Amino acid sequence: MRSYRYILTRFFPALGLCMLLGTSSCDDELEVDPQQSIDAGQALTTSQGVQSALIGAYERLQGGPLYSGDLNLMSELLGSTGNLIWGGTFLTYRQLFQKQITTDNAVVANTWIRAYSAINVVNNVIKAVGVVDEDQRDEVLGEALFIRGLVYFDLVRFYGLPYEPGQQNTQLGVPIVLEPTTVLSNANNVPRNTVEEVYAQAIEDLTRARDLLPDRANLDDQKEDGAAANTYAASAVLARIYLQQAGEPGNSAEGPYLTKAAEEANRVIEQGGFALVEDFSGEFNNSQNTSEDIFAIQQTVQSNAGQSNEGLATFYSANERAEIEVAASFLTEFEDGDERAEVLYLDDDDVARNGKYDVYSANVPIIRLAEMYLIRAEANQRLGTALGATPLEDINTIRSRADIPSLTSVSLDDILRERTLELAFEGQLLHDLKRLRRDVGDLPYNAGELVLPIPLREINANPSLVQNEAYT
Amino acid sequence: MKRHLLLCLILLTVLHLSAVGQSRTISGRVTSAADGTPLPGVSVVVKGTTTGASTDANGRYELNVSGNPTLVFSFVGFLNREVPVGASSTIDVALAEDTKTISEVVVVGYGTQEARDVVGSIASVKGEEIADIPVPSVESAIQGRVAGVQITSGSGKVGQGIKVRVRGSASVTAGNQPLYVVDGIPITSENQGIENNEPTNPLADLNPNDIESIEILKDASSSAIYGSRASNGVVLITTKRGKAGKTAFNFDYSTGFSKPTNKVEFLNSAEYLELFNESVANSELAQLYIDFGLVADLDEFKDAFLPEWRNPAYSNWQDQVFRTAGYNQFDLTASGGTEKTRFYVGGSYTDQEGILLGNNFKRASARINIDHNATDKLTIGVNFSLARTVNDRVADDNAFATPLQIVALPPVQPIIDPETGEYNTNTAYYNGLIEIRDAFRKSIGYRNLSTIYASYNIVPGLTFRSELGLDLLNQGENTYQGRETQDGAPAGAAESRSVTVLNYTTNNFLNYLKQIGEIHNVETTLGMSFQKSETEANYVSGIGFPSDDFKRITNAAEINFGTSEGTEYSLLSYFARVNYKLLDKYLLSLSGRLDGSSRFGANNRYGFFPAVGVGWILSEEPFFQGAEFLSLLKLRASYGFTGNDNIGNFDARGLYTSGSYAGNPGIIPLSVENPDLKWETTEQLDLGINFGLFKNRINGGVEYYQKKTEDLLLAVQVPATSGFATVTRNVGNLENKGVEVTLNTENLVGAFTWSSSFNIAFNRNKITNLNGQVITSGAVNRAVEGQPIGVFYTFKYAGVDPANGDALYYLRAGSDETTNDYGAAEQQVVGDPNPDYVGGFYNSFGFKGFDLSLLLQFSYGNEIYNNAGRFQSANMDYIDNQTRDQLNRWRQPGDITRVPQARFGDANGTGTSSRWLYDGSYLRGKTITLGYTLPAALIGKFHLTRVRVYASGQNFFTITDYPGWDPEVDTPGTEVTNQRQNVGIGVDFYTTPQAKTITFGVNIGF
Repeated sequence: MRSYRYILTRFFPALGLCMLLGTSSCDDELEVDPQQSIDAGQALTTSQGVQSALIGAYERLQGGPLYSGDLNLMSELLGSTGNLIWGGTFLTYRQLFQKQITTDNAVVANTWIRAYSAINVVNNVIKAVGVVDEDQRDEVLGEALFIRGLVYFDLVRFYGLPYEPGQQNTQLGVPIVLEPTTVLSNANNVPRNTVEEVYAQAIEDLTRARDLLPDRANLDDQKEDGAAANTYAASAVLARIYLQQAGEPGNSAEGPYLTKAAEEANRVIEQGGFALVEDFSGEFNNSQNTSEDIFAIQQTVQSNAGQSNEGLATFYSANERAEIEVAASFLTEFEDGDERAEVLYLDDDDVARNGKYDVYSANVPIIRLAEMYLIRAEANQRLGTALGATPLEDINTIRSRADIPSLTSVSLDDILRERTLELAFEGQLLHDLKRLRRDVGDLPYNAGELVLPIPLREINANPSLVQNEAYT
Repeated sequence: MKRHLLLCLILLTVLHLSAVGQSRTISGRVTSAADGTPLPGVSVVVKGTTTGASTDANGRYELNVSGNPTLVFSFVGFLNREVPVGASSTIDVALAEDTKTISEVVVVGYGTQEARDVVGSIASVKGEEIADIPVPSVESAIQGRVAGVQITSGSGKVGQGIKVRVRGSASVTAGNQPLYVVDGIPITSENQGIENNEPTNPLADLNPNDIESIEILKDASSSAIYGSRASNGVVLITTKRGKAGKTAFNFDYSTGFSKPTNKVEFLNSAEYLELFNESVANSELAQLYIDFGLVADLDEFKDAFLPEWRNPAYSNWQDQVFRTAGYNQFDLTASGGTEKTRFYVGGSYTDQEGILLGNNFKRASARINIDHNATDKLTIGVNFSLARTVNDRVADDNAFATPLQIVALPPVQPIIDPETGEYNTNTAYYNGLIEIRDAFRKSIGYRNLSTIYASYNIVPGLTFRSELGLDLLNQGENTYQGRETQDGAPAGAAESRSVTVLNYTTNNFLNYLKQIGEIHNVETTLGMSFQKSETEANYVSGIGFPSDDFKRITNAAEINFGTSEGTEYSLLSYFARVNYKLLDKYLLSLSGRLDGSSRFGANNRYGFFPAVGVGWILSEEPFFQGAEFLSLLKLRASYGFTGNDNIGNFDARGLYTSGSYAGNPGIIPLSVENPDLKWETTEQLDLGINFGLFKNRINGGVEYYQKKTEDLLLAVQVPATSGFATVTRNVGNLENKGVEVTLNTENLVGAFTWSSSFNIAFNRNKITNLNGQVITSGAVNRAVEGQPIGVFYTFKYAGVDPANGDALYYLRAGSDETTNDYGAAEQQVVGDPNPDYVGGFYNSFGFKGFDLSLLLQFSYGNEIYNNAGRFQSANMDYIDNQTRDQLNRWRQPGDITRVPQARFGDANGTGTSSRWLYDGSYLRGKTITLGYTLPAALIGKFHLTRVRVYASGQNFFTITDYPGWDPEVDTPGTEVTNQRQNVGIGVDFYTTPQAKTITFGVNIGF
């Protein structure tokens, strides 16, 4: 009994005091690490780490704010003069449809944020590319440059005034950031570059990508599924850029741009080994790349764009929110038997829908072979050349796949009309209207209302940014 | 460290078992010196120890003592008496009434203190005040009862999160909820719900009827001992414990029903069509459709949008989702014990239906609290509680599926499709009745809050206490949306999530109480604490079910998403407090805490939070000795620093996370490193005066405070061109200043009693510096420099141009110039969601066996932005049904109205603006209870000690100018981020009104 009392009265207080004073082992308890993320410092120190980051960059492209959704929707809604109708409640998209965008439009902001997030990932990859195994280094660098060039081209088309062929293009584009962000400081308050500079950057990145990237046959095993960009994807985007730069038919400066557009498109057609899918509808709603896909966003059920409130299927498909209707009048543009009209199906309420994105987990084709034929045809027609094929041959290639009779002669209007029908609701509308200098309703092609505002949150965060004039 | 403590506690537990003190029994009776009546509940304590007992109904006590100690007899309202035991075994004592002091004891951090000696600011609510109130969680029950604590149930959905703001919002983008401590152990109180739904409320796992008292620590002096988590105030919840004596049983049962406090009037079909036809006739959009050839004429245009206009139904959609909801509660408790071992056991069951169809909350809980005096020096005890809550949740306010969005449906559309006999699936928006029929969201939580403790009296006055507390929260949520539902189409969708939060704490501290000479009293507390919280969460969803009879993920054709995540944080702390009292009238309190947190940057891992408080009991001074009317006059002041660590666990780190593409694993930068990240620090000054007059029949206090928060943990918006959108940095300052007044009076004593309690609090919040950041959240809320948090910032509506019916907006802030060009107008601060003052007024009356109590609660000067106004009060701009006030639209030149001309689809006045900003002030009859206690003579025959029957009303009336459902509204939104919860306040968006509840109950004691 006595000893027990001793323990209680002497030992226990002593033990308590030790706890009170604490020990260094207590400090260790404050070292807690996250369980589903790793330190930035160790992320890109290995070849595998850098290649994982490259896959991360594709993931950035995949989300609803970019290539699985809003880049398409913003172009189609802002460009719509009645061929499709926004019938939903989201004010963000309604503003785009009505061409009355406010600077706090969340779609406009999210696209900007996501685009630069992708660019930052790519910049990290480019900076760390030296640790990539030598046999894969060119491929990794080429893919990274492809992504950066593609994103800058889309950013400048939306957030800057149209490119004017042969001009200085000093109108403001978007900021060019080429270095990864490791610390945040005032140095991150970057100003906008000119439209010319952004186009030049995109062309430089994509040209380097084209030259670095291997032929499709030489892609490594992991990329056999066609998810990764190849040299022809870079050429295809370059063809698109040059055509955009060429402006309206007949302008005095169009020549050099059209020549380059035709060359890049021709390279893809002649050397790429792509082939049009036999049935037009077979090009869409696939879970694998088709023979026609030059570059497509890969979706899986997990990637999920389209199941919540974003993604193309969400807004186009009758199975989902279905807030975008195709005007019945647009269907009458097609000739009888045109397979392309069948993709624009009627739902249970006899409302026409764009069926190109009807399955939320299906791939989203970003650039496909048919567009290369259309670019080559248009460029050849405008130049009076026949690089690779005559415009008539190219147009008839497109028409015969759509199961409609071949033409015997072709005009530029025929080519442009074919382009409208072939690429309907694929996100090209606004950009085509702008490059062809066509009005959008009452608005001229270069109206400020047809350019997105620099997001308000960005103006607030970065005093170096100048807002687009229509929004000041 | 942990292991040491556990070992120590196990040792203690084992060792004490063989301990037997050399003790003897003292017994006696305690009476009132004034009239000789026995005093029940008197505390009898062996001086310098915690060993004690309390007297039974006949004033008798029994106590084991050893040696030759002195007994201290104390009782509220009486003077303490100390009696040396000597050789006697019977000690009868008569206590004299104390006419001067308020010798109430309040719970403080790591101890208790006499209210008279407190120099900090502590609000206290007794358990009996909040017993039997028909609300799921305890915070709702204290609404309006204490000054300076603003409590908002954002929505009338049962079981959801509730906002508590102690002396205003101290933070912008870190958490603003107080720290909750139950029986000394900080508990998990943050939302644990499924992402993309509204916050859940882990406090609803506590049975309010188990609570003995709630103390809210408001100033630095009282709260600094909780250091880095005290800036938002600390809520100490103490559960009931047994007292020695005959075992007392209590049975409570109440039953009742709830209805919405209010319904909003919407257009009926005739009114709707009148407005619809007029709107289409005025529509430029319709003209555009005709010009484009989309439709031939206006009738076809109408067909395109609302074919039912030709053959209207007459539906009242709102009435379809509300119901008269049932309420049932049972409580059975037993408490008592011997002087050596005391216990409290309780079990309860609550079943509360929400006023919305499909919304229910059920809780079954049990609690066992045991204290055992192992020896005269060692006391050990255990608190154990287990609760199971079942919450049938409904979709968030922002979802089409949320029941109340059904009011958007045109009344001309039928509820039942006449062709199928089933719910109409061709409604303008999703028919939420299908959701109610074919979907469920069930959350089942298991909560175990347990503590073991040992307290050892080392030498007289010196006690060591060790506590080990466990808070285990396990919550599973399962949802299923059938194939007919919007999100479940085409073949059903299910989600399953489980989260386990293990949160354990050990507190080890010494308490030393010493009287030095006649005039010095010193009490010292010194200790350490370690807390760790570990969260594990798993989520999986599936789509494609054979039929709607299959509802579990196992039945899904496709598993379309799954996650498994874990996170943790730890906190290591050392704390100390010295209370010094000179001559029983000069008070000094020094306290502080050193906190080390895993959340902060390597350069700022530890923070120190000191506070000082002083008090002067003037009424003890000789110059007041003659003033018999004055029972107490105390001046007090405190000053100190507290912190806020309520941010993400890894915000200081630069991290990469994973992201896959095309089935290939990838990584993505997540955050930029900030090794300097540290606590928000709040510097708080508190000045107060407490008084008691006429034997305390009138008492109260007035306080002024100033809380200045610096180094705000701000989610700073950075240029997204960096690849990052926000980063957490210590940037900015804000302040809260305010005055709190509390006044308690006993207006009538005697056969008819009447007492009143009034409290009011004025808080002024101002963001003084955000380093130029503009933080937006919610609908139109902002945090802006120079303004209170969450101000409404949007276009300022200027009414309607009488000439042409155009909506007008003020062109610029401070100018009267108006424009009909929405885009040309300038956004500005148009309103403030923060109230000028809040408070409550409580009255209770007693006569013979009857008791009547009445609590009024009010909020004044806060504004509400109805974010649904642009759809439902938008002069029929679209097909949404409209509130009836829209009938007052502009129709012809000269009309003076605030409702613009109806022009379908033309957005005339529908842009976000102050058009839907309303005064949200209200006065509410919060609780009224009328009870009758049967005479003892009558019930004694049945061996009952108490029988009381009562009827009670909750939210029984509301006076307000707010035209929406209910002025106590704050849609939680689907983001559960701190920024959303702090800044996006005072917004209504199809938000469920509060419930008006009538209950009938009985309390039986035996």
